[in-house]
Amino acid sequence: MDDHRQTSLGPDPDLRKEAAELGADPEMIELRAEAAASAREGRLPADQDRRDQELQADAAAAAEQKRQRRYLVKALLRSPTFMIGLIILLFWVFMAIFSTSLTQSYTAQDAMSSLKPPSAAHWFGTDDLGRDVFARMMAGARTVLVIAPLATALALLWGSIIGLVAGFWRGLTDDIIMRGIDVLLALPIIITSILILSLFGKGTAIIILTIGILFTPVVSRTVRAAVIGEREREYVLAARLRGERSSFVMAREILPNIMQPIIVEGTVRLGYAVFTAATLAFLGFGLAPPSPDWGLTIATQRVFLQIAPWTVLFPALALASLVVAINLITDGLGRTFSK
Amino acid sequence: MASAKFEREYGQHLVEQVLKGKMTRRQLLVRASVFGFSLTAAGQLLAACGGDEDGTEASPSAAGMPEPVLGGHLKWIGPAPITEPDPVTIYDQGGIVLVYQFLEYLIDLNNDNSLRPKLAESWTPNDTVDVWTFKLRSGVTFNDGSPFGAEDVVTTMERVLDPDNGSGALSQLNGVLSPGGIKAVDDLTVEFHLDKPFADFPYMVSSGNYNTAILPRTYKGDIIKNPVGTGPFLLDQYVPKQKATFKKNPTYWGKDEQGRQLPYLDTTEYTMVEDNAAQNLQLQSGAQDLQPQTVFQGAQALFQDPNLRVDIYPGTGIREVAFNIEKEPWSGASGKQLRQAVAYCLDRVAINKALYDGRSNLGFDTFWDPTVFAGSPAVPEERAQDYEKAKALLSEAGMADGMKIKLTFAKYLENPQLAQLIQEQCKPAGITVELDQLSYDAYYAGDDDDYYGTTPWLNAAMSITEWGSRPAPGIYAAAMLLPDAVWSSSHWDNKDFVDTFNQYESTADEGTRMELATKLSQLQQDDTPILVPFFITQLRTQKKNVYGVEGPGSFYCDLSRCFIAQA
Amino acid sequence: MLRLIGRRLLLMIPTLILVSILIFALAEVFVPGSVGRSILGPYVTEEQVQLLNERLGADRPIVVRYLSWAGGFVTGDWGDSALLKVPVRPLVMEAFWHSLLLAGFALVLIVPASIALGVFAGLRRDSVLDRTITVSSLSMTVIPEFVSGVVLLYVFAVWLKWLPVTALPPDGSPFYTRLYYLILPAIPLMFLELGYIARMARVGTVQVLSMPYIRTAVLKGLPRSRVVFGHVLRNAMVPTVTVIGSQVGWLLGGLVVVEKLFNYPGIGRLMVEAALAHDIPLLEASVLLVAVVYMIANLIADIVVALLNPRIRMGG
Repeated sequence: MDDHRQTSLGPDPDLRKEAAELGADPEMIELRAEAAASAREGRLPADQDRRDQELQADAAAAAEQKRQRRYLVKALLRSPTFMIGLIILLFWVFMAIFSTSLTQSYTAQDAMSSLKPPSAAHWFGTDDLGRDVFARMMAGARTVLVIAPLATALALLWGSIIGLVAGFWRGLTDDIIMRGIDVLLALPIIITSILILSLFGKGTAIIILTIGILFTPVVSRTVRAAVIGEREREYVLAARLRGERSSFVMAREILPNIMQPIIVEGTVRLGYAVFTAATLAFLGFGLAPPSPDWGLTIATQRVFLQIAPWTVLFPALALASLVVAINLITDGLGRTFSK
Repeated sequence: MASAKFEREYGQHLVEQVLKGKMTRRQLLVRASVFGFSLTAAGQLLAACGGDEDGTEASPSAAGMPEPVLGGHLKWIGPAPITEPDPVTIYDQGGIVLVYQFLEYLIDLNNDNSLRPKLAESWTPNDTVDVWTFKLRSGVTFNDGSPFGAEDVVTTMERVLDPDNGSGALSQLNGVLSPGGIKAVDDLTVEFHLDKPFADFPYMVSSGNYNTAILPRTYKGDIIKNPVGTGPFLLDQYVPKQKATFKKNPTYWGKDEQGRQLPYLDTTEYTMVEDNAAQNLQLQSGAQDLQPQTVFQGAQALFQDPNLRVDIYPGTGIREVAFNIEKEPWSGASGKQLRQAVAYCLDRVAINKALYDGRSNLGFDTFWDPTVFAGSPAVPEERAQDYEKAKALLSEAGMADGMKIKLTFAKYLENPQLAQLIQEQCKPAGITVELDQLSYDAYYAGDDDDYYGTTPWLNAAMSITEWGSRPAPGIYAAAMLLPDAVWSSSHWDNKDFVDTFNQYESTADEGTRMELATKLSQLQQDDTPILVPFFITQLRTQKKNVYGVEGPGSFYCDLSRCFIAQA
Repeated sequence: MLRLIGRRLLLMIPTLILVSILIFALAEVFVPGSVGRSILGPYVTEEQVQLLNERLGADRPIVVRYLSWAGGFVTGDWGDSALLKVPVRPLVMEAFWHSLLLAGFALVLIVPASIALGVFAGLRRDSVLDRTITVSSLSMTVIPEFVSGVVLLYVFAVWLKWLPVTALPPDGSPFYTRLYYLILPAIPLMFLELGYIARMARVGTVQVLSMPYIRTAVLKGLPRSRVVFGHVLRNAMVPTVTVIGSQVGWLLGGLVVVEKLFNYPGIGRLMVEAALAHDIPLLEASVLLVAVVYMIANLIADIVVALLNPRIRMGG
């Protein structure tokens, strides 16, 4: 609706004013934006012959991409944080898939030896029904590794789209979207989830969907805030001056530059997704026994914390190790990218 | 006093039963209490039986009890009432335990489920056991100064029988007592004209039927604004979801054996905490003196605490594992074998160990169990895990390859653990149990237009329902095993059982009752409409210097004789 | 600016109306059971429940019920709690002040600590310290409060006896005693938020530091303290403040479990119980109150951001 804004600096007094506010003359802005853009994407300044340049760039870009990718992988492999995180994550992925055939049965009970401390027979002790805590801890990775990433991915996808559209277009679109987001955000998250789960019932897919819906408003707000911060930067102004389509500016110019907050948001939400699923289980919604899910186990075994701390501490450690691993990976990725 | 003639004849009858070896002394005491014998009279009966065995059990806190200390402040802790604690409609522990402080019942329950006169001094049935005459205690006043009399009993009972008042007592009295059946003979005499003979009737107007607390005839449904009752304490302050404080009722009628005015305590403060782990932590930190009901899960820490004493009482609460006889696979000709097969899969000892640290009493799928209900015949068969038998029964029913069943339950108390134990113990017999866990609210909810046809707890093919203490097997059976019972999750309709049950409740002859109970027990266990794997033992936790807390079962907490000894 | 704030305040009204409709519809249509069943419990017959529902007007069409509730609410009559039979307003307000005190106390602990940690980590980017702060603080946020709460209670209240087990002091205690009682419940809440806000502050710091003008300033030899306090802190605050605003909602969500665990009579617990029990007047009043706080927190966050960064105008 306000496409004219993006076509040129000329007819839009607002944009010119913004440029003035930045404390630089338009020419200066152009130059700085071009420099920033070429540094980022390896493109040449716009005022050269484009056709010529693109032909060369195609071949060069392919080679460059290959080279960069190889360099990235090497750099990541050399990053200790990334590698430690990856090893822990892979360990849990492996356990999620194969643990049931490697450990004792995670459902087998021996009520006569319930709440026994760690021993040779039960490395991490037994729980209240005399089940092997080690086996349950290993098998517990499964639900987390299905629910949390899928729910987070859903929330990031929806949230990024909504945040980009609202933050970039502003105006009426932004107003309407943000009103809706405000309503959703104003509802206490726990009430909303209880009500949604009452409506849809239970099951893994429902939990993923619920958490995805719950996290979307928060993600979109964060993305929107980041977009608003970026859309006034020189390179965006320049892209708009060049007359790029808004979807292109959003996806190719702004999105790569707000990846860092999105990745941060993603890892944080991933942790919260684990957490929310556990809280829902704690309150009696979502997962049900005999699932060895960590959150559920912590919720049901916490009454034994004083007399049998191993029933709670090991799943809590598992949960923490997974989150630390995810954070280490993100940390490593972020640092490698920025170099 | 019960009528002299009845007491003499029935007393003679009880003594004969004991001498013939058909009853134990303990059973005699319980039955005598049901028929309104005073403790002295019952003691004389025991003496008539000869021997020197003392039938009464010392309450755990009675041993080595010091001299009562008068005065003091007691801090106690438990869950908050879910609703406004209106005695007519309360159904939860928090509400019941609170109104019990300032209201009283006609009859109270002792720890062994024998009856103790409270606002009623005595009660006697007629020969056909369908009219009961209650003599009321004289000289009792409500704490607003108005005198207590027969009219208060009549209005209290009529109130709970009026469906418009939404009292849970209505379904307990269903088919036994109807509106208009309560008559004030004089100011201190009330007659209950029953719909049918019912020998266990006194239980239905005892604290065991918690909605029958005696309220003044002028009660308007505003219990918090006008907490008028005859009990030992006065409600001082009530902050919903937070706390309730009580002070002693200076005009309380009760005196102890030495003639001292009850209650001993000056004031108490009840702190409302939902979470059991949080309650336990407060006890361990010394912030609280008493927890009337302690949950087994996590209680081990309390047992180990040197400053606390955990009393253990034989309880009668159960988790009813019901097979819905109208649903596959339990319906049809071979349903009985399949139900029995599941019963033989259970390792009751292991279940008791896992859920209750081995401290509860084992149940064998019948209510007539002498270990928890004195006066019951021996259990026909003490069922134990037997996979051979279970498999044989399965193949007899044409399910040699095993079967798949679904078990529905609320996420509440130890239900999820019990469900998992059943699931795992059924596996070796080839029975696959799918667990269907619902929220507490969803389990008891149903459609508005067809509640009975939709609510999970009455319609699931197999379900777990938690029942608090019931004082007698007949009360349990009437509530869930008869075809006209409102709360029958099993929908069991066994003509033989119904006929026998009606005879059982219409006779006061203990010999006949015992024979009929034996038959009822056999019928119930053989047909296995429900599993009763255990009767839950009750725990109560207090500081070591807190004495004299009384009241059986999960809900009642009589603090009138409670005191805090000097350290 | 004032005009914009006024506009934002006005916009809260349609939002609140939408929230109230949404909550009403969700709670009345989708939560199993009925208010009569919640009051009378599972052991009464359905006939009894229906008699009570009729008396309470719970059998009328949902639109009629909503309008009758809303009509009362806007005229200042918040109604009585269906379950507890006491007026909703004092019940909700008291619970609300309790929660606000706890949340406010937690925020006072969280915000300076997390910003300091975040900026510190950002300034020493890529150092071991940075990584430790980032990873450990973020990991702390995902330990459920019922785990950290129970551990803390056990260690500090039961074992060491340094702090009280309850969150509420005896009646008539002075204010500092109230805060002393709130230390233990505030820590799990602190864990919840610390990592998130710290990481936002760190990202903000790193972004500011990578700006050419800062690099220039540093190269020109501007004192480090001037750089940090003059530019970095101010700019790092922008994403941080936004996040704090949006985290108020989370904080109040986190209160549900902490309140339950520490037996603190706050609004979170009240709300969940009301939702499950069909206690509509109580549910609506508490949800709307929380919604108002949430929106005001966000408004304040936006104002602060606008003040810190004049280029961002106050929009929708």
